[in-house]
Amino acid sequence: MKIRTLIVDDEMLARAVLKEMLASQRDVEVIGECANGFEAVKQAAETKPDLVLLDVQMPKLDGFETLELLGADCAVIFVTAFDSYAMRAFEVHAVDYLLKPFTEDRLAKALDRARQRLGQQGVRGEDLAAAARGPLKFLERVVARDGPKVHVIPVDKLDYIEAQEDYIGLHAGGKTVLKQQTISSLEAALDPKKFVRVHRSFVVNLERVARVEPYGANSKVAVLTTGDKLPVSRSGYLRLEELLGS
Amino acid sequence: MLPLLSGRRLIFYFAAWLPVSGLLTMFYQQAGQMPWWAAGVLAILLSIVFAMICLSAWYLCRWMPVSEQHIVRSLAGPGVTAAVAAAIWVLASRAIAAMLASTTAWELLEEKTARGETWLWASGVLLYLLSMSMGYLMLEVEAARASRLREAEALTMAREAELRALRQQVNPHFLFNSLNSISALVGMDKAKAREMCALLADFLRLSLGVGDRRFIPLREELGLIRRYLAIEQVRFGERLRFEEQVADAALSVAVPPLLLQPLVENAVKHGVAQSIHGGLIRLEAETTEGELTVAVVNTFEQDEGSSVRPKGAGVGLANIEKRLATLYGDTARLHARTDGEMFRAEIRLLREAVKS
Repeated sequence: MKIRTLIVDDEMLARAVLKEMLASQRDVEVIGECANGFEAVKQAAETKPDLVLLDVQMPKLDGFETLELLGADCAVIFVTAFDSYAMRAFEVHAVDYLLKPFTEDRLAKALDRARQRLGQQGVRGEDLAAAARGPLKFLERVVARDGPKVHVIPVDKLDYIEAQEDYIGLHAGGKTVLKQQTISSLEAALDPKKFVRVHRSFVVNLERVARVEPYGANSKVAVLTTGDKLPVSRSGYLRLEELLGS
Repeated sequence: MLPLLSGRRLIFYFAAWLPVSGLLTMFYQQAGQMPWWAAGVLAILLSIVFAMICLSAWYLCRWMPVSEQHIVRSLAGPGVTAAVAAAIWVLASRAIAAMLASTTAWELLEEKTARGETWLWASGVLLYLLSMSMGYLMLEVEAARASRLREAEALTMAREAELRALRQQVNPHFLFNSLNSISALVGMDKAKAREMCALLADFLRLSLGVGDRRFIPLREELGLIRRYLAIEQVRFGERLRFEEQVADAALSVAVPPLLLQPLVENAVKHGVAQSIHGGLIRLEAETTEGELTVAVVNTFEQDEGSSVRPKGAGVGLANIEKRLATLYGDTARLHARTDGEMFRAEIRLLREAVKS
C-alpha cells in the first residue's frame, strides 16, 4: 500500500524539490501540493493523506496551526529553512524535520521513521506551538476549523471561551466557533493577565468584564460588555478580584 | 568638587607657593628692613592665606568661561576679582602683623609691613591672575580629554552599528532559502540554477565589499537591492512584485552602505512572505534642494499575530535610527508609517555626493 502524501509549502520551488525527490520513493504517492495552510486543511479533509510534509513558515497559517487543524491522525514531517524556536519544539516532541536544503538521503531517513509512525497518534500542533513559543510567551491567535472553513481569531477579539463536553466554544464578536481542544490547554496558552478562568467551564477576556453581580444566595455572575452573563465560581471570583484589584 | 583638594595634589599646590614665600621673605627683609626670621614667618603665613584665597580662582573659571565674542567682559571679570582678592590679602597682612606684634616683641612690625602694602597688592593681583590662567588651562585640558573620549565613543557606536547592519545583512533565512531554491532548480532548469548561483555570489560579494566603506553612491546600494530582490523573486515567483521610482539626480548621492537593505528585507518579510497572494514593493528616491529622500514602500495586510515566533520588526528600524544618529546627528531622519494598506519607511538625509 502506498503512503499517500501531501506537500505543503508556500514556495513553488520548495514543493518542486520535494516532489522530485519523492518520485524515487516507490511506496510514496504524492496526492497533492498546497501553497498555504488553508488549502492544506481543505485538501486533507477531502483526501485524508497518510503523511504531510509541512513547511513551518507560511503566510496567515503557519505549520503548527495547520497541523492543529489537520488533526493528529496523519504522520507529519516538518520542513524549515532556519528556525531555532521550531527546531527546539521538534526536539522536545521528537518530531521529524528536514532543514532546507536537504539531501535525498536525509529525506529517505525521515520517511523511514514516518513509515513506523503511520497510523499512530501523532504530536498535536498546539503542543508544538507551545514548545516553540517558550515560557512567558503567549498565543496571539487561535485557529479553528468548521468543515473546510478555517477561522483565525486574534486573541484580543475573543470575548470568552466555554467548555462543551469534548469541545470548546470560542465566542468572539457575537459568533461562536467550536474547536476540539480542552479548555485547560487553551487557558495555559493564553496570557494569564488577560484571560481568567472564572469557572470550571469558562475563561473570560478580562477586558470584556463590565462588573460582577451577586446571583442568588451565594453565587456570582460576571456581566460582560457584550451583555453575556457568565457564572463565577468561588475560586474564579478570587482570581478575578486579584486581577481587577478590587 | 575642586580637583585640587585631593590629598597629594593639595600638597603639590602648597609646595608651588614655596617660591612665593621665598620672594616675600626677601621683600620684607630688604624693603621692610625686618630681621630675616620675622620676614620669613610673615611671608609663610601670607603665602598660606593667599594660597587659600587663590583656590577660589578655580570656581571663578567655571562661572566665567572665556568667550571670544565678549573678550573685554571676559578679561574684566578676572581683573576685578584679582584686585579684590589682592586687597583682602593686604588686609590679612595687616591682621597678621597685628597678631604677631601683640604676641612678640617685634618692633614696629605693623608699620614695616604697611610700607610694602602697594607692592603686596600688586603682586597679589598678578598671582591671582596667574592662578586663574592655571584654572582656565586645566579646564581646557579637561574639556579636550572629554571631547576625545566622546569622539572615541561615537566612533565605537558607529562601528557597532555597521557590524549590526552587516550581521543582519547575511540573513540565515535568506541564505538557506536561496540554497533550497538552487537545489530545486538543479533538477528542473540547470541554466536557471547557474544563474541563481551567480546572482547569489554577486550579491554576497557586493554586500561584503561595501562594508569597508563609510559611504557609497545610492546607485551601488540600488544595485545590491536589485540583486537581492531578483533572488527573492526566484523564491516567491509572482508573489513578489517590484517597482522603482528613482530620480537620476539621486543616484550619485552618498548613503551609508546597506542602509536600505534591511528595509527591503522587512518589506519582503512582512509584505510578501506573510501574504498568500504576495505584494508590491516600491523603491522611491528623489532629491530636493539639500536633501535626499529615499523610501521603501510595501503593501501590508493587517497581521493577526503568529504562533511561531515573537514579532521583532521594530528592531531593524531602531538599528537604522541609531546608525543615522551616529553618522548624521540631527540632520537625518527615519520615518515609518502605515497608510491604509501600504507601509512606508522613509529616510531623509543631507545630500552630499560621495567623495572618492
